[in-house]
Amino acid sequence: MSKYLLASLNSFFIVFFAYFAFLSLISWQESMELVARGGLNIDIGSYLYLPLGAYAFSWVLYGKQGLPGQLLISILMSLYWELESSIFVQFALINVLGPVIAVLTFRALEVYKFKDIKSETTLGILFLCIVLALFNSLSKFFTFFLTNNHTTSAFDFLATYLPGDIIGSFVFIVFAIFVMKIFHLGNHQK
Amino acid sequence: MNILKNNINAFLLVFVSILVSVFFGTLIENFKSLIFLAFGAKILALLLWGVYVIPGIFLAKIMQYLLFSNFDPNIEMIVSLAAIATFTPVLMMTMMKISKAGNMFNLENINFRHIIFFIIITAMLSALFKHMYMLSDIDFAHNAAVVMLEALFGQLFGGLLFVYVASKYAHPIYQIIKKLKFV
Repeated sequence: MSKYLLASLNSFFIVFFAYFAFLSLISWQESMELVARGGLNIDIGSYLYLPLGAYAFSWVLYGKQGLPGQLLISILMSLYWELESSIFVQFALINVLGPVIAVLTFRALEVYKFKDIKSETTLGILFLCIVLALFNSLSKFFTFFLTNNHTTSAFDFLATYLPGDIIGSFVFIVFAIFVMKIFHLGNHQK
Repeated sequence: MNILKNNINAFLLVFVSILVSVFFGTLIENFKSLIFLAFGAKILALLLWGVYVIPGIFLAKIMQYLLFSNFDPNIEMIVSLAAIATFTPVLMMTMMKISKAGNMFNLENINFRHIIFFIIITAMLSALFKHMYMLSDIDFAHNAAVVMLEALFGQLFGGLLFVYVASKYAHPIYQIIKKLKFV
């Protein structure tokens, strides 16, 4: 029980840190007038969506033990962004389950094992990020545009979500592995 | 000479599978887009004969967009869509080889699960690239998400079905034909 609680708490704080860094970056961009003011617009993604990498990293590190924590932070962030009821549950689930399905696809089809993320090559991680971004962007695209309440064009949506997911997840995972190596942190899952 | 023969084989394989998909499309509404066998034929041609058959596949895709498009394409759009359809699997094969996720250029000692992974990711990338190109140029009559969802699942099911059937039954069928001395 305590194992689950600890893994969930750790996952929660890893993803929370990613959201915090992501929101700080947006605030900084707004203060420097690099982007339009008015907070994050869900219709148009960011070019550095760090939380996707955090979800994937937590899943690889803690497995199913960390899922409750991930789900909690995902729901809290959906509440924070005041998502519409038609996409609220779907977006919260896609955030958590998208990386799970992507990593499980890699494992089930024997492409990469991702048992010890520290020993994975940079190209392997980049490949994971591309697949993660495809799963995440396409699922959100279908959810968003099949509900028929969108204001942005489909092209703008995909053209911002996809590169943002790839770059953001890659930056976060590489940074997290760097931190793990500096502090000699081990893999939680054996 | 061998490359030319392989290109003709690839062209025939892809074009006949397009015709089969179109034939089924006339029987059941939207069937063509839900199981698009030509995607699997294209993948199989690339796996069997290598990247040298790109011209044959490209020509077959051009014929597809010229003859069986349900929108009114111009020549630039036809060439672009055919190029996307042809080069996306090659891009994916290269990416998989570079990142050591599986060598699709060499069929010896290949893991069949890697081929499944290759088909899944290529179907997603191909649907994405094609629709991003089309979304920037034309307005869809229906919801863009529905069109893309149909294309994605069509390529995914068509690809997996074609490659599975070919890998399971191609050799026995070839042996029967060989016995009949057609080959």
